Amino acid sequence: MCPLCAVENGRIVEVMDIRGGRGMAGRLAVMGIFPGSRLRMIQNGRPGPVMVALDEKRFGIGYGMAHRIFVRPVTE
Amino acid sequence: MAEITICLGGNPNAGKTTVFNKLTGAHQKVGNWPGVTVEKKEGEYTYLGKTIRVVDLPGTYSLTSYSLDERIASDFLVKEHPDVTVVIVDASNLESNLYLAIELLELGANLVIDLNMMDVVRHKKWQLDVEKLSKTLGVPVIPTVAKKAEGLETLRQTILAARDHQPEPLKINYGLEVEEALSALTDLIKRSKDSSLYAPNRWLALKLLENNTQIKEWVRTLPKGEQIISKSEDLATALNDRLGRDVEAFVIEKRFGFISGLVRKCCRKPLGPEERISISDKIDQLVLNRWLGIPIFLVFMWFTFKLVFDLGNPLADYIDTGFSWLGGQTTALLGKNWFSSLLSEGIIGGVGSVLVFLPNILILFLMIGILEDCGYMSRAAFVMDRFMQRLGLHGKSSIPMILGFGCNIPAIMACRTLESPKDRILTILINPFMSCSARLPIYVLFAGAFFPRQSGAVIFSLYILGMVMAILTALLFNKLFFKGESSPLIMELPPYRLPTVKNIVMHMWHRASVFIKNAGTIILAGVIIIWLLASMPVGVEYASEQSWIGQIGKIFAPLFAPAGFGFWQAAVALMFGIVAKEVVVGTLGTLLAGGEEGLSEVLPQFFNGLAALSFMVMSLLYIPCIATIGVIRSETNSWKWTGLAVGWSLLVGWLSAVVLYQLGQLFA
Repeated sequence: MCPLCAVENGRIVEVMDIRGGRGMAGRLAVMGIFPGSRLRMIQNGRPGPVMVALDEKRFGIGYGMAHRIFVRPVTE
Repeated sequence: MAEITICLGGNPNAGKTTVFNKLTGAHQKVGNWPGVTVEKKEGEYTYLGKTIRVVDLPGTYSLTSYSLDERIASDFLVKEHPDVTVVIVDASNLESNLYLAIELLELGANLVIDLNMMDVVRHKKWQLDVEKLSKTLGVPVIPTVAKKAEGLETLRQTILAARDHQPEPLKINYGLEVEEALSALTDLIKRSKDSSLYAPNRWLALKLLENNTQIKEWVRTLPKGEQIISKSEDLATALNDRLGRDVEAFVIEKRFGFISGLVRKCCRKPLGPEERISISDKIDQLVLNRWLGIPIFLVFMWFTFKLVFDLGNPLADYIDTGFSWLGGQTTALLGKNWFSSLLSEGIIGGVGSVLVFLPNILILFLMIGILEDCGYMSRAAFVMDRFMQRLGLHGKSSIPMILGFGCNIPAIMACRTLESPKDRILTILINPFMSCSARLPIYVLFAGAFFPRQSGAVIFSLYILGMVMAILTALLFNKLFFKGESSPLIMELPPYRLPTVKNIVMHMWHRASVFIKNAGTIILAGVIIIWLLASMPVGVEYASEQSWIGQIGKIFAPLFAPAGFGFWQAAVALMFGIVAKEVVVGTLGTLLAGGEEGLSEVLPQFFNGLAALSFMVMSLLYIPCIATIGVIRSETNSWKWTGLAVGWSLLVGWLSAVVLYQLGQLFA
């Protein structure tokens, strides 16, 4: 398990845990990002924000948030 | 009088604006939602003899209360209870877009689902069983391609037919633990609810468990409201323990679970290489690149800036010339008396000073519209986020700050794209320190007269000083007034697409008309007050030593002595600068040299080099012009913040000028 901000471009990961306040987990969840969602890293701008794909949607997530979203790599 | 009120909801980027424009055509008006400066769009259309009023809700993902937009949307839905709610769902992103629809169904809204962007679905060869979807959810589902007006006729028909539907609120099974808590809470609410809240009891109970602050506020107003709240908090805490996690996130995931079951039943996607890199992604790998991102952003901004001012300024000059000609003609026609002076210098000059900004503003909004519509604007926020977060601002704050170098008025209006009120207010407050183009003539005059060899360096350092002051102010105000509430960046980046002319032009026009209405009245009032001060008492020469403004100038002059320019003409020029900063040069010309020609030769009689420098610093930093003050007032909707912006800039300007002059004297 590693934070989302450590994932390399092109990798597919599964969200395991979101270690933030209530508001943060909820905000991400209504956009479809919660434990179990699969994300693909499009552009990791570390130490800036990251851009990830969730199905057909693309999200920009700030660095502060991205290092509190814990993911594991998905091997296909 | 409209017979039916409907509202449009939907995720950002689901095509809501297009549907709204297609439904209502040109019959739109833009205002603000009560109490906040979020744009409220309303329109009307007639169908089969019935007038239908359409309210466009802000684009949201849910009915929670994370952002102002979401609060506005649920407020409207629950309190105003529209006859029909149309939710626009991007069919090519069915799962995530259905979330809002599901929340609306739980609320018991009389829903019509517009399944938009069906062309993308067809292109991807997905098989979508619209009928099954409609049957399962119990509401009409209409497939459309809004940008080609496909399916909109059916949508209109369905809206009209749906007006008398009363769908049962959707019930999702949240599992034993949550259901127990829900039924206990629902009972409690049932016993104390009055008719002010048009929402099902179960929905209210659910929102309380989800810790929705807005619903809590409403429930608090019910009889025994406090009791209900404390019960809900106890239940939520107990649930958190039993579930081993946040009940809020748990409930959201259950909804998504329901949705994915639904989508599996109604939609078949062909298997294929799902995870391919699209063209849009390829562009993003370049545009959002760690090293190239910021330079690309700066190029875009520079280009916008060039267009706004290279194209806008000549037009502004025409308007300016036109109004001075009109003023001259009025004086010639009526002779020189107080009435002709009021007309030409006060009213015509005042209207002119509002309209003179119009070309720049129109072009700026055009450019912003293009950048927004093609999808770049959200990328700009992404790229700048890291730097801006350090200043306690948001990635999106960077755009208004750069635009401020041109003119603070459109720049402050561009702050509307910031969602969080804190980010918006802070970005507005620091904006006047970005040195606008109207201040440049002052620098050119003084730097040319006193530092002919280093004038470029002097002017450049003034720009830098303005930026430093903006940054320091941001850091300070963030500590003082906002206690570091940070709003992390989480935003959808829509795929790049070609902007449509109609959307952009409509957007541009609506924003510009709001400027003329709101800022215009304040600018006009300010200009007339200055005119009055400069021409009173009756019979005095305009803006002379004997006029009221000259008298006031004399009173204030000693205040500027520590900054090196303690004579009444400088004070008067600065006061006139409040109307518009470029007026400072003209006023000094009138008062010191009887005209702008030869002014630079006369200046050294009044200023020494150091005083000239501190006068420039003062001109840079002190009080924003009336137009800017007007826009700050209308955009923050608060005299408190406006007062702070004015007071703070006066203080910073004066202090900086004095410190500079005093230190300079010490070392010279």
